[in-house]
Amino acid sequence: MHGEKSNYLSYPIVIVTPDKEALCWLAELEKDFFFQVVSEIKEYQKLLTGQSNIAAVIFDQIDQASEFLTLTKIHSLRAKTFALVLPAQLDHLENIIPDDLSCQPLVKPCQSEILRLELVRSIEQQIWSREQELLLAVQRQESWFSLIGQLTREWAHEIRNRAAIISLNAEISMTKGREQSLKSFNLAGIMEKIIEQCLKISKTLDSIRELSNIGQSRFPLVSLEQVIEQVLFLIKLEAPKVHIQVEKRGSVDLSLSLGESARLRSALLGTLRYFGRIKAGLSPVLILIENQQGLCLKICIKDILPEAIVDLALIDGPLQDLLSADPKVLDFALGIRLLKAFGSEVSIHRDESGGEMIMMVTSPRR
Amino acid sequence: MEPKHILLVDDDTGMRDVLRDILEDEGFKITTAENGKIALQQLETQTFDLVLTDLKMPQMDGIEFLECIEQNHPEVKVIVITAYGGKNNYDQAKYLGAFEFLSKSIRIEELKKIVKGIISRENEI
Repeated sequence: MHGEKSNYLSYPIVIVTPDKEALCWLAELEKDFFFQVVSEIKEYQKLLTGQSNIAAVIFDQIDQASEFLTLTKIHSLRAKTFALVLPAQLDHLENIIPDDLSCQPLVKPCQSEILRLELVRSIEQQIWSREQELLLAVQRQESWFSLIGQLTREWAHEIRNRAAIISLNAEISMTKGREQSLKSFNLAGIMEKIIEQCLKISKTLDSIRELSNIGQSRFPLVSLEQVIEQVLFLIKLEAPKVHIQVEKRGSVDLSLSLGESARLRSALLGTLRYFGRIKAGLSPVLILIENQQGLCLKICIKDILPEAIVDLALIDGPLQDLLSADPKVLDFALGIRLLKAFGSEVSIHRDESGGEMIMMVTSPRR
Repeated sequence: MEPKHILLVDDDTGMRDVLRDILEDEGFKITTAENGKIALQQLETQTFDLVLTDLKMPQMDGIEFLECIEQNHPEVKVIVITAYGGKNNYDQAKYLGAFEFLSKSIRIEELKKIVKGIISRENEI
């Protein structure tokens, strides 16, 4: 893990100490980890707000151990906690730390190597848990979509059935009316059947609406950041060496519905997989911009090979042509088609001077 | 001359009614069944010139019903009429000997023409 600090940037380690000099012996470790140093418990409390990915907390005010640990517990952090102690304090530790709060003592300064190993273990554990959570979230969404797919199919069938009955009954009325044989023909009966079918369609539509409400409550709006995180996670599983840089310009705080997030995820995955296959080792930059038109996602990839530029005419053209294209192009193009079908504007062009490929996806605000 | 006898199989009452109205108007004798299982019982006790069946039905769906017809009543002509077919169902139905595979969105004149055409084909099986 040495020298791979960038991998651990998202998992900060909080050090709570009133005396920063006292931790100079940790300077060696700073090369490998991302430390956030705070001086007192109030500052620590402020830091915890909105932070869920703290990998470890180290504090050296042993007399306040109970407060620190309780605060950590209240914020439901999975962070491992360490108390820096002097050899003489070891014996009294049991009296200071309550039974229900766990904390590992580290004798300063001699146990820095143990601390390094523990921190690595703790971060790896956090990464693993986070990945499991993301995987679970993705799986849950996928199974939900599968269910929606099945139900939609059933309802489409149901509505089509009703529409066919209405159409056939209407045609009978029309024909009979034309033949002027209305005497022997029960028009009221036919109309009743048509109305009955219309009511059944209406009930089916109610069910669709109800499911849409349930879906919305079970899967509330997803933030754009969550979608990006899921995409990065999935790409990381497929291509561990691809490093994707995400940049936010301005305040991007757009909540997406389940459907929107799935579409965006699908398009991003398709795009990144496609470019990842074209040239290994690319470092795409995703730039998220929220402007008056809506959410704008700009994907910039430098040193792109000419063949990596997909002809937009192919994406917009007949599906038949697309299906016969290279599978990696198909994967990418289907994602783009999906976005466009739901109202996003997509443009792809190559900056001739810099050899940079720029793809812009603009999704209108709802 | 005895009217031609058609067995109409569909789980939806509305669809059975409207198809019966259309075909009775053309002079056919109609018997209805709400699923494949009941239709098979009818096939055991009566003679039919044509079976008009839906695919998606409870208890025994159209494809399973077609398989049974192919095994036990290969002389019976079958038309499949469905809301949503799909290529797999189409291929399967054709493989199992269905004469036609129709959409329920069909116009009445077209339906009559196809039914009459198939019934008038003698000894074609």
